[in-house]
Amino acid sequence: MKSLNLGSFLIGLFLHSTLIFSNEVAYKTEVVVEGLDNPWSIAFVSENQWLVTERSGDLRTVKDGILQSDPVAGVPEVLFAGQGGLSEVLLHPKFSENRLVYLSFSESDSVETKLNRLTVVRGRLEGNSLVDIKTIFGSHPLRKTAAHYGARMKFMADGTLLITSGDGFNYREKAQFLDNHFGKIVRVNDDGSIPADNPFLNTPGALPEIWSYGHRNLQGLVIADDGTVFEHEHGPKGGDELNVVEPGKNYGWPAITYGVDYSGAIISPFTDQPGMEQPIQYWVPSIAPSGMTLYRGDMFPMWKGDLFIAALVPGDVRRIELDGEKTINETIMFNEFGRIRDVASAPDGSLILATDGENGKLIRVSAVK
Amino acid sequence: MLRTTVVFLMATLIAMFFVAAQTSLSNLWWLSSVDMPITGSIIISMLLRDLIGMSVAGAFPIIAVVVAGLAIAFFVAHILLKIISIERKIIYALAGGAALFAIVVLMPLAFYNLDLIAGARTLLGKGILITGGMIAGYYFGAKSKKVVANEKS
Repeated sequence: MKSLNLGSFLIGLFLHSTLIFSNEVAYKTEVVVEGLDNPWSIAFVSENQWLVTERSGDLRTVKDGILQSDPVAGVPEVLFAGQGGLSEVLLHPKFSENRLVYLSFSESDSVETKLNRLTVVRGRLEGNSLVDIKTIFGSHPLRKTAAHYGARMKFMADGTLLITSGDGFNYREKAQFLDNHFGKIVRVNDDGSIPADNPFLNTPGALPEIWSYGHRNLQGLVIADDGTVFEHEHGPKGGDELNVVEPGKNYGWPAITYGVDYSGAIISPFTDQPGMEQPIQYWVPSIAPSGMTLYRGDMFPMWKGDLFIAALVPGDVRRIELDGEKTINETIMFNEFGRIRDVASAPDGSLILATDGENGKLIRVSAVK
Repeated sequence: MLRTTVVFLMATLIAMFFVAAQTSLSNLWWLSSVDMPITGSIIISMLLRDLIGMSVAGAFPIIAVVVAGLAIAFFVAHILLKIISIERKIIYALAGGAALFAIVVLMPLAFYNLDLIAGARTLLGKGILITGGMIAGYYFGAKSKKVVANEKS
């Protein structure tokens, strides 16, 4: 069932509300929406209208806390397999003027149908439809695997768009080379064209979109007000990383890593190497970091400027306190909901958590008044 | 029966050695190609750590997959030996190769084409691991024959 009526919504609200009082801050959690099919990302059109991606391929709308029954029309067909599907939804910085929405997803190639890629499109939201859809990025080369897409996006202050592109699992070594999109952050203009100041624009053999490299499966991306780019990525078995990313730099995967392969094999005996950047924090064992937000709201003054990272394993949210570009404290929160796929800052200052799975929920974390 | 079990475990170790060594050496080869400082002690250390790590420390037990694969393949070979006339070393070698073929070629098809054994990501790597399975099977065919002969006597 993909929609909730008001009655069940209110009952659900009553049943699922929880008050938490810690010595630092009092908050309550309440289930706003349930019945989502693998929710992955949330964008806030306004305080009362949200867009939510379902990895199975639908873009859903939540209005006044009610999940609308009809998905947004016009969303391209996605490859829903493995870790793939409809991923990030992101609004253009001038959305109120141009109504542009950006979507990332995995899709099968139209010719070599057994192969697939990460694709980013933009379209204009008119009513409940996306129109004028244009592809602005397609990862190269094609892949046979349905894993490690990355697929997170954020706009920089200059209006350019950062897109994370994962290593495709089988193709990890390609993350060290600049002739492909595996294990990269790419930077494009809002129409998909290449910015004139990209770092590898004049490097022979390099793809001009590439902004940084040596990444694995990048699942969280945040840009602070001062322009600092925070990115986190899944390590293998251990070695999840939180990085501060700068253009042109090499983040080491898989030549250096704090993790080992799922098989138990050593991927690399090295954890550092000149010319390769170190994470500002890493996790062994893995927490399987997913979405990430930088809290800027007023509802929780104590949290302002902190990173919140959704963790799929064991299922919680990590609050990371920062001192500039250094992490100074980590607090485990919201560990009663299972796997958390995404965490987002709502316009009213509350946090919205998206739980993973076929009956995904949106959970609001708000202050107790 | 005890000797058959010991021979089977030895065959498993032979196959696991190929799995671990191919994974170690392919990783080391690539690391060396991007100028990471690989030394002799690192090579020996990685070979040993991978043999142990891939047997007991993975997120999924590869050795259990290899044991299951070889056990099924050898059982089928045992049945076939009663039906067709073929040298037992050859049919067990083919069975061992088939087991590793299933593990490195067919198993990824069930997991969105993910090659969970890093050493099996290339065609050459798959070939080496299948060859390892054939050698393991040949060993089992050769040694278990003696067991059967002893049992009959």
